[in-house]
Amino acid sequence: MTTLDNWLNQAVRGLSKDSADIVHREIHEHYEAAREAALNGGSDPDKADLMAMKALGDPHIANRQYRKVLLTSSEAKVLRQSNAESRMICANNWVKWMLLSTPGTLLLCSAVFLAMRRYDVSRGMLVFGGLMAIFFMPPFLPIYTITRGRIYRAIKSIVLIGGVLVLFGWDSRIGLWLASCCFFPMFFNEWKRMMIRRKLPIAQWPRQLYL
Amino acid sequence: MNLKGTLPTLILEVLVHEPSHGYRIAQKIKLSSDGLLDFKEGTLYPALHKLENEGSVESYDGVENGRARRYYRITPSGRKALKDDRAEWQQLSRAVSMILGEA
Repeated sequence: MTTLDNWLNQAVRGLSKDSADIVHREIHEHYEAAREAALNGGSDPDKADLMAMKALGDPHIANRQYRKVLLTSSEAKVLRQSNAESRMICANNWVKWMLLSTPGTLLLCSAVFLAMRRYDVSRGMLVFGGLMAIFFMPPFLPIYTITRGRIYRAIKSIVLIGGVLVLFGWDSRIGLWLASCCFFPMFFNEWKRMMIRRKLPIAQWPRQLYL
Repeated sequence: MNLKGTLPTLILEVLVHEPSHGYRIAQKIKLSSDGLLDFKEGTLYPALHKLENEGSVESYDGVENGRARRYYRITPSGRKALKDDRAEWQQLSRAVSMILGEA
């Protein structure tokens, strides 16, 4: 294994395969150009190699900087898997209509129970219906611009926090703790998506990144 | 010398004159500063990717001396960012000069 390969292996650690390919390509190009310039300047091949390598600097620093701008393997995995729920909903017509009609039905039932002064049942149905609506409706909504995406994400956060407040009232601290535990995978994915949004140019965003 | 955070501005300054590839950008920055601004070339590409993600530069494939190269060119939003960066830098350097001049 050459010194350049060693440098590259350290520089691409933790990056996705596509990102690593990009780094390999650009650093190889750069290295060859630097080596050629050194050779043209009268250096012998060994010295030219050494100069080109030295100019690249510390691979660990390059790796830290690459991780800030290119997708890591875990982010690429999130991106690949993050539209699983949409695919699941859209794959089966029966599931699709059931998931679309349930939130409405729950919200209607919530209103009926509220009228019957059954507040606990009404609250539970309201929160459950709201959560179902916020999670299952987006694939069918026209959310494909940054602004609409932001509005949707703001509404999602409000519904989540509002749901906890409605369910637990004054004991919301316990509720928030419970919600954090239950929704941890969702928060983790949200955080990863936020990182991906910063790294990918908007033109390359898949639909699920707007959500 | 390497002033943290100035690399993107320097890259934009090089690209405002003509599209260029990574190696040439690095050489131009070094030559223009008489070798004073010495940054490691492995960190040039992350900065270029960041500028590309922000929409300040765009890349395309080209050929130089029969060798495939990734070229970068500045976009209108990159020109605007450069203009803002220049103004900010001039303000900062004026402020520092005033303080050092008084010392």
